[in-house]
Amino acid sequence: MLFNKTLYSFIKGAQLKFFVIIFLGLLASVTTILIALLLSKIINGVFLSSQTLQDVSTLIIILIVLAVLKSVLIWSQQFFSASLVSFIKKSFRKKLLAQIESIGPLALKSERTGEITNTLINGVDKLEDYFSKFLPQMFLAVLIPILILIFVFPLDWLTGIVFIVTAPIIPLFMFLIGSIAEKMNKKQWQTLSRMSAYFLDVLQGISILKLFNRTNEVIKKIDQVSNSFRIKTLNVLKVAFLSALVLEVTATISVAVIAVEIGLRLLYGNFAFIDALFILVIAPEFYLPFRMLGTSYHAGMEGLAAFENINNILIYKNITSSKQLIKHNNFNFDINTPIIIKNLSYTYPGRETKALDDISITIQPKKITALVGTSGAGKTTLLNILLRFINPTSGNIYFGEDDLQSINNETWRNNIAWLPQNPHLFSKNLLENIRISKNKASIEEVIEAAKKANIHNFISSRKDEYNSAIGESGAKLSGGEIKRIALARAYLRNAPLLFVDEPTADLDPIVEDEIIKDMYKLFSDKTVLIIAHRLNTIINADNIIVMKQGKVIETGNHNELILKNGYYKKLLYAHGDIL
Amino acid sequence: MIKVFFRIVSLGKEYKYWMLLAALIGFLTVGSGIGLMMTSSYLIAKAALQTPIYQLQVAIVGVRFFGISRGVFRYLERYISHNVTFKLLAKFRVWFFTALVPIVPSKTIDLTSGDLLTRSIEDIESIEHIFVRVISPPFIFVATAILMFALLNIFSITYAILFIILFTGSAFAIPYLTFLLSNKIGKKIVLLKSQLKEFTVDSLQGISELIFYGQKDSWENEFNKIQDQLINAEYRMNNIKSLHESLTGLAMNLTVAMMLLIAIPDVVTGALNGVYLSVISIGIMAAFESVAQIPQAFQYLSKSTEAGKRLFDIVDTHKNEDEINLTESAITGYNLRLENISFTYDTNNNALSNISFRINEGERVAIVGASGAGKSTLVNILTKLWDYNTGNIFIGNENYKVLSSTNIRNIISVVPQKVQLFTGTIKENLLIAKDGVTDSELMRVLSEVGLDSLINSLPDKLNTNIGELGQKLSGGESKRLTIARALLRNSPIIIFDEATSHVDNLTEKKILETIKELPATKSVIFITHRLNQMDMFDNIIVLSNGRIVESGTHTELLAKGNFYKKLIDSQNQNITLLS
Ligand SMILES: Nc1ncnc2c1ncn2[C@@H]1O[C@H](COP(=O)(O)OP(=O)(O)OP(=O)(O)O)[C@@H](O)[C@H]1O
Ligand SMILES: Nc1ncnc2c1ncn2[C@@H]1O[C@H](COP(=O)(O)OP(=O)(O)OP(=O)(O)O)[C@@H](O)[C@H]1O
Ligand SMILES: [Mg+2]
Repeated sequence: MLFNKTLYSFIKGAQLKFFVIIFLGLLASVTTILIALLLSKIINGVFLSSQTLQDVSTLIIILIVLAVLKSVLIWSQQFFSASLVSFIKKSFRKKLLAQIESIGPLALKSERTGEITNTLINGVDKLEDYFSKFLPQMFLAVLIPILILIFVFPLDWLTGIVFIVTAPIIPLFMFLIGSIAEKMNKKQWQTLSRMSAYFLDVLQGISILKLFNRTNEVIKKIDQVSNSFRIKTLNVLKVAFLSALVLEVTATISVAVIAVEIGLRLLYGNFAFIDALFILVIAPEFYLPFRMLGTSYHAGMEGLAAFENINNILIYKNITSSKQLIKHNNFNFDINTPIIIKNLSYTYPGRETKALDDISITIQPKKITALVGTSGAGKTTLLNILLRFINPTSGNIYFGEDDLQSINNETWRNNIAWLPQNPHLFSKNLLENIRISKNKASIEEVIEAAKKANIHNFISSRKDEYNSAIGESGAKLSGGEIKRIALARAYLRNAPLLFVDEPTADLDPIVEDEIIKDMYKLFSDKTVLIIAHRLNTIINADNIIVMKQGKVIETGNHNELILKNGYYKKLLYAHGDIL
Repeated sequence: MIKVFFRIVSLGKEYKYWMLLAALIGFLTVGSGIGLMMTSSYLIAKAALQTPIYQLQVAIVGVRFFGISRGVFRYLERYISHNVTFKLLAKFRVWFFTALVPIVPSKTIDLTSGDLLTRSIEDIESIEHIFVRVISPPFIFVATAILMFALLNIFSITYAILFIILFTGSAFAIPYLTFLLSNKIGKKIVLLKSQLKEFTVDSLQGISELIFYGQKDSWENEFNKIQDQLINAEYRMNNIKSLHESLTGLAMNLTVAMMLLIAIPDVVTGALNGVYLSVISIGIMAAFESVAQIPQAFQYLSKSTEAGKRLFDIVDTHKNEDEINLTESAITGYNLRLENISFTYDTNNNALSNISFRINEGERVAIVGASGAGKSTLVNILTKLWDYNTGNIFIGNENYKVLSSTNIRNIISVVPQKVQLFTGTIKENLLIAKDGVTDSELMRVLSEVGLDSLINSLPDKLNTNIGELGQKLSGGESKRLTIARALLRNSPIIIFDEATSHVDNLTEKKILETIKELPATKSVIFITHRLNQMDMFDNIIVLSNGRIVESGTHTELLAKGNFYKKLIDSQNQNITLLS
């Protein structure tokens, strides 16, 4: 139950450290036993054999030396366990990061950031005690009692038997309580994770909650959540404490039983005081490993529960690489290649209707293709497939002859400049935010891109210019400014393919016009895909694809589509004769 | 630091008796341990002298009694202290959020949600440590010291004094060392952890960009840079902990050795009954249990006070804001009048200068203008999310300055430019606007924004989960959900900020129709870049660079041929040319 094989396998690479920890723990126990022996010898000598201080002085000196030795051993044991913990944490986080990256943004983004953050940081922290305390203790709880038995048996087999009889009661009881506690712990950890996600949700949405006068309710809910968390935690802890209580009581009663039992035998003179004293001193030490196991038991359990969450991320299927064909090793990008989409369909998990329904279109090279249609028609979904964020449910996309899935994702994306519908700006300065699309870009290149995106003037009017901070997700910027900074990002990339999702949605008509005119000019020799609701921006596109409810319903250029007198025209003139 | 410490302590005064009780029981636990060890060693020492059994009865009973009481006390102590701790936790969370809510966003613009998340979870957990780990151990220590002093004094005042010197010596010296070593590190851990969380939240929310731009490596590097520092600090903290643990063990053994050195000659001279030699040394060993807790207390001190500081930061910012003397008077009449409003976010430049206009009850007003002109800023001010610097706003006859924000927000609903939805179902998100609305009413509102067919196609209908921030909806769908949310509220004034920027023309038309059909008493402020059907507005205010450059009806403004006309022309040039 508590010994998790997968979890144990993480020790690989630090196995040596782990065994050193156990070994040092064992050595420390040996010194403890020796100290007990010495102590009983000294006291016995003075008490019964009328020895003087001189007689026992060597023993006392050895005792002091041993005490120092024990401290050093314990300290080095913990030294190793601290370094083991560092190693384990790092390797878990490394694994998780790699996995987060390969799960793909779409699947990840609809998850709760707060929950993932909690798993990545606090969840991994919880493993600390599992590895540094619980796991070594599991070994030590077997080894140390055996060691002590080796010393005790020759002296007094009766006590040895008391030890042997009482010892198994402890793990047995732990096992019984353990299975209940384990379930509770898992639930508990989930609650904690959800709480973290809920808090993040609230923190990011406080403005909205304020606008709707809902903050009191939320605070009340936080109180409620915290209190129900308290009650649940206490229930878990009650079980954990109970198991510790049982351990404690078993241990102390056993010590008491032994004390009385040897006391009585001493009384009748058939037992030596020196041995009795030794046994009395060592008896608590016999139970100590179990008690420590009991103490770290709860921590271990928590670690295990946290691991469950971590593992949920680790076993998540990698969406875009699971179906990948054999990769081209030397894929050569040629700008003159068309992108051919064949019978493409996609259904989101949990949805019944298809977001894309048998789409077949061709995006001509060095041309401007526009994607228009009703809100929710599937435009962004198509783009997500083109970007390899999701795999189509059926159908294929070919880049010339090559199936897109046979091309390495990174190679493919290196040839794309992309403007998302809702771009994310990071909590960094403007320069770093733009430069994310091309790490090595010079400041001149960045300025150039910003000029094209019509945001350079704004940036240079800031006090710190390109070094200005922008707040979380661009909180210090207007909607249109965010969009233009993201556009500068795309331009900086200077890639042969340009995919833009509603580039001018938050811009005024004048800026919009400038940007669009520039875009048509700048990208005349590149392949461009524009998703747009503002049809004035795509009128001059070479090809316009009109989508509705996951289907392509019309294609052609503006004039052809007007002549068709179909849905495009209806969209265009929705507000009357002129826009 | 001491100030912060006492401030934290004063937060928990409501539970001081419980904490005192926990400490008392903690002492009883240690005391029972001492009792157990002392009586049992007395028992066997006496028995070694072949004392008649009836003289040992008391000792035997004592051994049993202490054996059981120790376990029970420990259980009680843990239970009580954890219960108090968690109660404090809930209390602190509420305390923190209550202070935080009023100052978002204006005073927290430089804090990220990841940082605030750390404050609301980790930091609060850290200050709670003060109560269990910092306050009670010294108390237990003092009580134990007094008990031991009294016990040893029975034998000889010399023992008592020697013991108290060594005992207090270790209880001060070791923690002091710990404190010196850990002082900076504790603070560092708090800050680094927060930084790591901030970074993680920000990265996860921009994961698409990170993955797309192949930033995985630099992202991981940055994560590792913070993580390495954190793990390094934690590692050092662990080492300090092991140092004091082994030092405490050493101090215990040395104290026993010292005691032997002094007591053995007394046994030889007969001043001390040999029976008590073991009683004393074993009792001392047990007493050190209370020393072991203290260094840890000091280790946590710097961490807890740093966390406390971060929380007080927020709470104190809030204290400086006061909305206390504001009236909750019923607002009569919804005429809105702005007089010379100026506003600046930072001292950089004015986001709004000298804005004056009025919107009479039931009027439909559009606000247009360049991107970054200050339109959304106006919304922030009208809803009191930010406080304006100069000028006055009146609603009815009341000045904004004397109205509470709750009061104002009760009559104004907003569709913010940036979509902000909560993890949860469609229904839950709508009900934020208003309680107790029937499903059919919800569906009616949803159909007004054209979302009814989507909802009907979903397997779970209104109970469909929309993912974090509504990520499982298309851009236009999530925007429309926020429109529905505002409409549902049915307030006298509704502000739409770029409500139609992410939808197609037909959907836009539907939304405009809905707005037209709102009851004639409702005032509408419609901020837009899409200048469609502008003749539906009674007044159009044109903003540029934070100033009103012109205003009037659509026809008036066209006739003027200024900025507004330019905007319209830019938008329509292509289309009018071709059609
Ligand atoms: N992560 C998701 N999970 C489930 N359904 C989704 C998800 N993302 C989008 N959808 C659904 O798929 C459909 C198509 O969405 P998509 O984002 O492609 O539309 P769109 O054409 O880009 O719309 P818009 O113009 O409003 O942005 C929508 O009905 C939407 O609700
Ligand atoms: N929190 C802030 N701190 C500093 N400056 C800010 C902050 N919020 C906005 N600004 C600046 O104030 C100006 C006005 O912003 P606002 O959001 O009101 O513009 P807007 O007219 O709504 O633009 P858009 O049409 O692009 O949404 C912008 O230049 C913006 O950079
Ligand atoms: Mg705006």
